[in-house]
Amino acid sequence: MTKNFKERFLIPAFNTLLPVISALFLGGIIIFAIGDNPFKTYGVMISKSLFTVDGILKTLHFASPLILTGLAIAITFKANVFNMGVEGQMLLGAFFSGVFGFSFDLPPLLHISLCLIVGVITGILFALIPAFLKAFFKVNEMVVTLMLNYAAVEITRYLAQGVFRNPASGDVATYTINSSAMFNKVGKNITAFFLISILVFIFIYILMKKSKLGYEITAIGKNEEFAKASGMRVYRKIIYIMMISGGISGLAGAGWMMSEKYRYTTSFSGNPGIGWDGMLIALLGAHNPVGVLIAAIFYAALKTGSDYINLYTNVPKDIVGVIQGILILFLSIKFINDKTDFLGRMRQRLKSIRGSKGATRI
Amino acid sequence: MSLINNILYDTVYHSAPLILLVLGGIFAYKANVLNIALEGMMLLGAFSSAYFVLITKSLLWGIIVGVILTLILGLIFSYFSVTLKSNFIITGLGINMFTLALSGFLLQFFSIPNINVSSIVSTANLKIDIPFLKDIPIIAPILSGHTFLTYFSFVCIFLAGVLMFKTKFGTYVRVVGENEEAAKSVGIKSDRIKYLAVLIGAFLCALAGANLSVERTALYTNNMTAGRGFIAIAAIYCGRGMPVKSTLYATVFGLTKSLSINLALNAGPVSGLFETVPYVMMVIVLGVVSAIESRRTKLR
Amino acid sequence: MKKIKLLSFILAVLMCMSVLVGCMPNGNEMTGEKTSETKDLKVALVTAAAGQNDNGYNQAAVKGLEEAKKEFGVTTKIVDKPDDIPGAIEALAADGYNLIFTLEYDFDALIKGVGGKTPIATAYPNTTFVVFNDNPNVDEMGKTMHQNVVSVLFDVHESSFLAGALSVLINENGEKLFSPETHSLTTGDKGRKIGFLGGTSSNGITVFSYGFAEGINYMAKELSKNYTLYTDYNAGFVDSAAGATKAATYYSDGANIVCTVAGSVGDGVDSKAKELKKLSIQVDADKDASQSGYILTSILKNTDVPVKEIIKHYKNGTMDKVKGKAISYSLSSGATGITNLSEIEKSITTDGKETFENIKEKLKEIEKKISDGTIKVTNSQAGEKIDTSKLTNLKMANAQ
Repeated sequence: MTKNFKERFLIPAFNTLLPVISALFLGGIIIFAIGDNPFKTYGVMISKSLFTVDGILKTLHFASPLILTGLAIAITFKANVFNMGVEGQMLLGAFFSGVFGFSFDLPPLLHISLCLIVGVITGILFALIPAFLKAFFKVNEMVVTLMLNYAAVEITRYLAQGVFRNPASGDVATYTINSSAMFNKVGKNITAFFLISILVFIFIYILMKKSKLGYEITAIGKNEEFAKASGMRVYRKIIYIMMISGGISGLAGAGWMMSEKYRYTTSFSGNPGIGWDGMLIALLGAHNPVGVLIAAIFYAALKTGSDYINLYTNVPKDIVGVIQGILILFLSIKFINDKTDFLGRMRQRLKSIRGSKGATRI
Repeated sequence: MSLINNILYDTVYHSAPLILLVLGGIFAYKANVLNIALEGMMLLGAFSSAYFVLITKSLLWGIIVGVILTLILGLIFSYFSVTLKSNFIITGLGINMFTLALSGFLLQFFSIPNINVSSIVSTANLKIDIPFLKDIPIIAPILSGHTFLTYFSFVCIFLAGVLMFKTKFGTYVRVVGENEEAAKSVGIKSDRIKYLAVLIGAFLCALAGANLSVERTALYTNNMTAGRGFIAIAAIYCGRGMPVKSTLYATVFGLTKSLSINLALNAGPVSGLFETVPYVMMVIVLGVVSAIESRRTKLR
Repeated sequence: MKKIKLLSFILAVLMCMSVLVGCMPNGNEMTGEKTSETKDLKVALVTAAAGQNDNGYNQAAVKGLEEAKKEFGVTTKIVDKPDDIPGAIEALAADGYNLIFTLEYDFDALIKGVGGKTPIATAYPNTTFVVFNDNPNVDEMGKTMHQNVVSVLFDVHESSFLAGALSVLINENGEKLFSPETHSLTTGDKGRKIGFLGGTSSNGITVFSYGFAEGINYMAKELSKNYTLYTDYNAGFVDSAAGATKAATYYSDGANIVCTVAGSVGDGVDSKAKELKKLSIQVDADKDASQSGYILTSILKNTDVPVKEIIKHYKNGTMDKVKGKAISYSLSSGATGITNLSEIEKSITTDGKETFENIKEKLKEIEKKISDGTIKVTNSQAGEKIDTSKLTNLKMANAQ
């Protein structure tokens, strides 16, 4: 066994498995304490979500938007730009693609493409607000995006219970999109939206690893002042990055609308929300496209697994949430063997200390 | 007149827990372990103080136990992020998820829909009217008729400022945050400083939670913190961790929240959009301040 | 007797199966076998987002299910607020549950079929699905779409009407009924205001507020008084502290009574009412005792009644009475109404007892008029719109 193999596979595998096992062990104690059988519970979760075709496809289906929101955040984090507004961009993208979906009746392929484009454009436009504020007035984009998330939630709710309300629905909901704008389910859950997510993943992978912009993103992320000094138009690049991020977020929302929810309700994104989950996924995946892909699928498996536990055992839903929380807690130690220095770089940038390493890496 | 009074009173009401959260977050922020678990810590503070008020039948003991439990949560957070050198953002998100689910489960386990302590705590009696001041217009709703922790939150701004800038601890926190290696080389125990910074945060978060649940409404309902922890983080970033500046942003949020609620009374159907005002206002205020600041640096 | 009925029922099911199996894909064949093997009725309940301990809508349904389990010996399963509700319904149907109650507004996959899939109700014809608060089981022409879907509706608009009328009666007699030590109610014209807080603006919420408004107007007209109704439909369902301050703005503006249909925000409003010595109105379950003396009444939506009744129908083989239908539970059914006011009565002064008895009499009178159709209440759940021009004695501050 070469050293390379050990470093590349064994250590990361160990780093991933150990926290998972310890979290499951702790969770097992909790399940045992409330009088259920932990082996049976985990057995249900694993066998249903990983060893049945339906389960795997369902997991991949639920992973589709998470891959996108994860990538949308990862690409900005990589450049030291903190787009925390993926949730809001995703919601608005979903909302307006939904509006487009129920307002028109077009041939399916055209309708689906146009809906996706509407979602992407909405996401881009909404992401441009923090991008311009950042570029022209040096407003901290993290605060702006964080606040605009809440604003987006309220705006979409306002529109869904006002102008675009479906008067026949008892709940706050827009009309259901026309079937020409729906992705068709293959089997029980999965749709072509998963393929789109994978295509975007490949696109982002190439962009980050092979393109000039990808190189520039990394350079800005490493040292913004240096990038500026070497003649890079940093703020223009930041606007591009935010546009890409917003577009992907909008796509995530549009796709989820057209492949799963089919209408906008106040619980469209669930709790804590696809965009917030994306943040966790981007961090777990260490801002790295492949890492994000793995983390998104892993996280989706957790989600579907928790639904299966809910269905086939008597363990309360909230206990599954507790175990998930513990799991995330343990994974924070080291999930993918990479250094993810979030605040250090953030502070460095805020202070703009040229050449200084700033904070230690964590 | 009563409208203005209401607006001012509610501003203090909505700002107080945010101020406690902000002050709880700035030390960790300055020490370079951003505490994104403010939300979860506040939730645990709100939940456990309410629950233990119910158990002990005493407001004081309830809050004390609530604080102790939240400090333990703070210890877990700092153990992971300082000792185990985890990615503390993920740790914080994990804690948020964990506390939300745990409190939901416990309510179900005790088979109660919420924790109602109104038979033990009378919220009306907890309000402290200040003699003389309570009769002066405008000033009265700001300064009188609030609860102890609300007053305490404003006192804390001063205390936090002193702690941050006038004590050795404050200096250490800032040094550790700016350059940990240098801090270590002059003999500062950086890990211990970080632990303390997080624990101060946990303490204040517990109080913020207690303020929201037992002191204000004598009630805990599921997920009642409703995102306040993240608003506080935004305020901390706006004020760059400075005690007064950060709390000012928190107050701006409290003011706009109060305005949007009070003005919605007669606004008609459009009042639905008022809910966005606090968030948009934060963006606008920050934008204006940043624009002025960036112009000033350019002129220099 | 029972055994014979059960046996004949199983035989009937088996016969249905054998007919259906011929034209069914493989998956359902399995289901059929399973059902006949277990020989008993499997009932599942999928709760809405508020979860099974919400002390209201969901919890009552769970209670109904548990009572039915004891009484009829059925196998039960509660699925608490799943992320993927259509997925949960489908999995339960595939697992051989005969009767599935679903409490969330999420019917598209069940009734219409989405993403090119057959509707779940069509894919599992031997399972009966029960949905609440809406009747999605009709097509554009008004024809029933699935025979194995039951829609359950509650006439909460009528109950809300009663609550509205009660509010005016209490408000007009506030001084007589309550001691100034326990309640500080605003009197005169300044106090002729009532508040309504809704979590969102949807038919599920306006069904309460329209009825409530009409009830206020009815009583105000009878007493020739003019009232104002403050409404806000943006309270959400979570932030009880912020919701309480919304109610506080109403109270400080002179309102004595605030009705809240907004999940746990309502609990915050109750607590505020107690703090300010005012009154609030709750919904869904009887919560009068949670802040005794300050909750005027609760508008009931007893989901346990239909859950038990439908299970009973299934057990007795009388499902034909409800299958494919939309069943409305009216005031007389006991599934909706307002509480018997015994909790608030404890706070009524001795001088006020007589007035209070008169008020209760008056309410009975109104209830009778609603039941016999003399009073017609707008039913937002059925898509009806409120006609504000008819509300001669009520000003809607935030007309919606």
